[in-house]
Amino acid sequence: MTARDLIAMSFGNLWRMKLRSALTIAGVVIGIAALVSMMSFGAGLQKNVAESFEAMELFSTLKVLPRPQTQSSGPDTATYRTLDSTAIRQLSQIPGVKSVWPEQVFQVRAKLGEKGANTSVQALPAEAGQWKVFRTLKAGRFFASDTVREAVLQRELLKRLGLTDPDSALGREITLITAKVNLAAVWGGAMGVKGLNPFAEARYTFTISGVLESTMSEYQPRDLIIPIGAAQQMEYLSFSSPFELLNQVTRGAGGGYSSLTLRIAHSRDHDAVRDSIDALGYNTFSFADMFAEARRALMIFDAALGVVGFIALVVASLGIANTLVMSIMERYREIGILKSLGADDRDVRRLFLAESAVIGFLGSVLGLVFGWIITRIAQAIAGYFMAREGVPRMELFDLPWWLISLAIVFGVGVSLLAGLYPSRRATKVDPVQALRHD
Amino acid sequence: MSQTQDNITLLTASSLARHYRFGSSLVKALDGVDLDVRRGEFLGIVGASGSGKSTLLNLLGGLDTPTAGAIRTAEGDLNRMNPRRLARYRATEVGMIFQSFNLVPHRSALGNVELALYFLDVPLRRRRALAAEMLTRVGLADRLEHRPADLSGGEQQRVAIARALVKNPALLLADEPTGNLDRDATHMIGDILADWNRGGGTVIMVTHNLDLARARAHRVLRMDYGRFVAEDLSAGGLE
Ligand SMILES: Nc1ncnc2c1ncn2[C@@H]1O[C@H](COP(=O)(O)OP(=O)(O)OP(=O)(O)O)[C@@H](O)[C@H]1O
Ligand SMILES: [Mg+2]
Repeated sequence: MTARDLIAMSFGNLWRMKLRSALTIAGVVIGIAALVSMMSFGAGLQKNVAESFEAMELFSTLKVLPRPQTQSSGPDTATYRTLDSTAIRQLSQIPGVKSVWPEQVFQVRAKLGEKGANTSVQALPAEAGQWKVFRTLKAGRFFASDTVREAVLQRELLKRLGLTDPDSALGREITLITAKVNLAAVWGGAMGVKGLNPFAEARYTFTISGVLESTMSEYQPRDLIIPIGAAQQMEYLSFSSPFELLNQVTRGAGGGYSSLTLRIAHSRDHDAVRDSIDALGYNTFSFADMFAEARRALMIFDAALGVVGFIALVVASLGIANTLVMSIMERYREIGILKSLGADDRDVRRLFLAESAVIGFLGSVLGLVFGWIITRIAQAIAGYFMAREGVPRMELFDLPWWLISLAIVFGVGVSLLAGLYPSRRATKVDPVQALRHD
Repeated sequence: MSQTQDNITLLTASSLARHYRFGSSLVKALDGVDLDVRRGEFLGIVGASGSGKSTLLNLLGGLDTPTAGAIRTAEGDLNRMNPRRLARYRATEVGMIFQSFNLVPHRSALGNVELALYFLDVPLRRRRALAAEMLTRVGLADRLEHRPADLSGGEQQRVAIARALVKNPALLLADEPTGNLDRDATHMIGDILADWNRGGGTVIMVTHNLDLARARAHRVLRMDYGRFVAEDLSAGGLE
């Protein structure tokens, strides 16, 4: 018998017993659908988180933070290391470090012609133009050096500023208005002069060099990106608590940065660099470590979900075995006829295995379709809530080819396993008994 | 009537026995049978119910294995063959028909006849063509797509004959092929078998119908209690 004969016969037999076949296949469908939708969730999270991490090159990025004093060896304040230009120089010299720049994110009022919008500014080095997120801009280019007065805008901000065509923004001037401390007023206030405003505004003009349309979910860049050198020329206030503000006002500008961003040339140096920074007396925050942790958590989650689908499949395989055993009893005489016509045990076994394989295949394919539908529904529901919470739209599921093939291989494999015993039993049919007239 | 039969032996059964253990008792369904079948022969076997006729045919057809004795064929000793060789023997050398037709109910006449060619690895289109041709030869050209349930007994048996003969076997074993049929149908089946025999085929037919056996067979043997009891009951023979 050829494979084609076997498959044709199997389909014929399943087609004849439509309801029973449908119910048996439904078992596989449920198992595979559960497995696929769940694993698709795991794959989706993994893929999307990894993708946005990669786009921002976070795997080779470390954040350097000042170590709180209580954590240092003694009460001696000399061990408290400020994140200033000395620290930047020191950190740059660690082998394997590609670049270090201060974390500067602050609020500005951006003005483009008559229109204005409040937004946050992020300072990045020109080398960030090589990152995946910035490699393909909607229009224009990334800024050319760390010191030019050029800016890259998110398209969304541009819209708020009244421009829909990104190309028309290129080359236009944008004014960034920051809040700064009016030292004269502060001193004046201290001398007892009334009515002086301790705050003043500062205006800086930038040229729009590029427009970005980021679809990344998490860790997306801020709405306005300027070169680090240019940012250092700016006076601004940035604080997360009134005490931080108080600190800045009393100490004046340039007291040190809240954090530094450090890029590693090769990710294999990651651990060594992290340890060196630690030895210098700074705290670090590693995205790679965080991702590894997240992935571990996801793997456990995935495994748990996989078990649910697997149990469903085990139950389905019992259904398959039951269906086939029943089918053997009904087709007792037919098996005898086949044997009298020259079928050997291998032919008979194959016939029943082919039937279970077809059940498994149909179940897997339908299971994939149903699993996919489940993920679409779940995505729609999640999307609704994400939109309501103001979270950018994020694809939670992924159905890669390896998952599709795995589902089919697994569905067919489990079905074949379920068909093993019935198919052996079919070979045991005694043709003399089966052909005896009733 | 015996023009085509030659003297070459097609198969020889010697001291053939088939015993069934049934609890503490032993049923000797076949108890020492010797038989020579010549190529081109039409052999009739009659005998009381339970005398072992079906048992003998099943052994000759390679469906059953003897408790003792041997069956020698051109392909070799059946009892020396492994199950796969024996299946091959059934596929190529033997066609069998039964009183209860043994057609697959959910397959059409054509589908049933085709089934005999599945295990000979005949490609699909040739299989169809051969099956249709054989059904035409037994007069069922206009019944190809009928299910067994939609055919009369005589028609069903003709489908079974077509299925047995489509592979052009060396030997046709017919176990009461007319047991469920009326006189006209019996006559027609007899014609088909005799026709095939005249074309050179070897037939062994078991029947309760002595007239039929005498009318069609070259030689008629009687079985009783698992043995042959008399040589040649044919028209010119004993009794
Ligand atoms: N599986 C079995 N177990 C026990 N005894 C059996 C078995 N098969 C057949 N027999 C016995 O063997 C004997 C011969 O049976 P067989 O079917 O060959 O008879 P038969 O001549 O074909 O009869 P009939 O004309 O009724 O078809 C019978 O007594 C039967 O009861
Ligand atoms: Mg019988």
